[in-house]
Amino acid sequence: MNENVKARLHKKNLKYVKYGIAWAVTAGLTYGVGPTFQTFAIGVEPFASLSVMSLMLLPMMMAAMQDGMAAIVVFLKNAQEGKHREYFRVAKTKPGRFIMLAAFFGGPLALGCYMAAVALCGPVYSLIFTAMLPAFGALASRVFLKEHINGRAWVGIALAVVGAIIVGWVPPSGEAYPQFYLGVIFALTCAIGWALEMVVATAGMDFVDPEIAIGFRFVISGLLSFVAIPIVSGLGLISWGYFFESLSSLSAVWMIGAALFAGGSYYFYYRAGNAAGAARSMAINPIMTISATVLGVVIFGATLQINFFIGLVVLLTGCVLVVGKPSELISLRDID
Amino acid sequence: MKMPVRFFMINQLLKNKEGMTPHQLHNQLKPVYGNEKQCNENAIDDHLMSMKGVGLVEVKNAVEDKDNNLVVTYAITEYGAARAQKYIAEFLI
Repeated sequence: MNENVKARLHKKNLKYVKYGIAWAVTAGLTYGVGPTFQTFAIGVEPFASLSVMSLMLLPMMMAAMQDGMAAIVVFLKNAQEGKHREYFRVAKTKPGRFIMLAAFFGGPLALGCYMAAVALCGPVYSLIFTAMLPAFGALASRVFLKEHINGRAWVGIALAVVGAIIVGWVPPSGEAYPQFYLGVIFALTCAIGWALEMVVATAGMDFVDPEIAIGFRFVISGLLSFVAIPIVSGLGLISWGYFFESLSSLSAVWMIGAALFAGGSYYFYYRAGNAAGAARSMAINPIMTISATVLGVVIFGATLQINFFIGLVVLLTGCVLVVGKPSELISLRDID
Repeated sequence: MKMPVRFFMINQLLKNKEGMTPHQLHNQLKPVYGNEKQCNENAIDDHLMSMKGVGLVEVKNAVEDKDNNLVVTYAITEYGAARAQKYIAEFLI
C-alpha cells in the first residue's frame, strides 16, 4: 500500500469516525429535547387527569406511545432506504432475540421509570440522573461482559456519582415536586435499565444493521410497554381504553414531538455505536443535559443554583473519564 | 425467507478469507437481493465500515483503480469468524 493510498484510507476512516462523533452529539442533544414535549403532554388533557389516577398508568402509556410512534418514524426511514424486509429477517435470529431482550430493558423498564421520573422530579433532574448511564454501563459491562475497566474509569464512575449528588443537593426551586426523591429513584432505575439494554444489545447487535436494530427495538419496546399498561397501572383492561382515547388528544400531539426527537436520537445513537465506538458514544450521550437545561431555563423559566453547574461539570467529567480519555474522542483507530 | 443482508455478506467473507471489495460483494448479493433498494455498493461499504468498527472485519488492502477511486479490500477477522459461529451458526452455509 503506497503512501498516497494510505493517506486516502486514513482520510476515509477519519471521516467515518467524525461522522460517528457528530451522530453521537446529535443523539445526545436531541434526546434532551424530548422531556420538554413530554412535560407539555402531561400539562394538558387527558394526560393531566390520567396522571393522578395511578402512579404508573401515565408513565407506561407515554412509554408505549413514544416508542410506538418512534417505531413508525424509524420504519418509514428504513422503508425509504429499501430495508423494510430486514425487520422480518432479523426477527427470527439469535441477534434478533438479543434485541428483543434489550427492548424490554430499554422500553417498559427504563422508559416507564423515566416517564415516572419526569412526572415526579421534573424534566431537568430526570435527565441529570439518567445521565449517569455511562457509569452504570461500565459496571454492567464489567459484570456481564467481563470487560476490563481500568483505574481511570473507576475514578470517572466515582465522579459521576458525586456529580449527581451535588446536582441533587438542593431540590429545584420555583416548582413543587413533593415526591422528588421517589422520582430520583425512578430515574436511577431507568439508567440501570438503559445500561442493561446496552450490554444485551452489544452482545447481539454486531450482526444487525444499526438502523434495523433500532427500528426493531422500537417495535418490540412499544408493544411490550403497551402490554404492560394494564398490569403496572393496576387498573386492568380499562387502561387500554384510556390509551386509545388519548391517541386523538392534544397530549398525543405533544407526544409526536417527543417521539420524533427520541426516534431521531436513538437512530443516531445506534449508528454512532459502530462508527465512533459504543464507549465513545456513551461518553458523549450525557450532553443531553445541556439541551434539556437550556430548554428548561428558556421555556419553563427554571432557576438554577450554582451547585447545579458545578455538579453538571463534575458529572460530565466523570462520564467522559469512564469510557475514554477526551483526546481519544477525536483520534482515529490504527490502520493496517 | 432470505437471511439478513449482513449475514449473507459475512458468509461471503468467510468463504473468501483473503478479503473482498464492496464491488465483489455487490456482485454476489445482486442475484439474491438485486430487487431491493438497499442492494448497492454504498450501502455495502457502510455495512463493512460498521463491521470494521466493532472488529468483525479488517482492511486487508487498498488500491486506486484506473479512475482514481479508492478500492478497499475487507477481510473477516478471527474474532469475527468466532462471533459468527457463536451467534449466527444456523445461517452459515
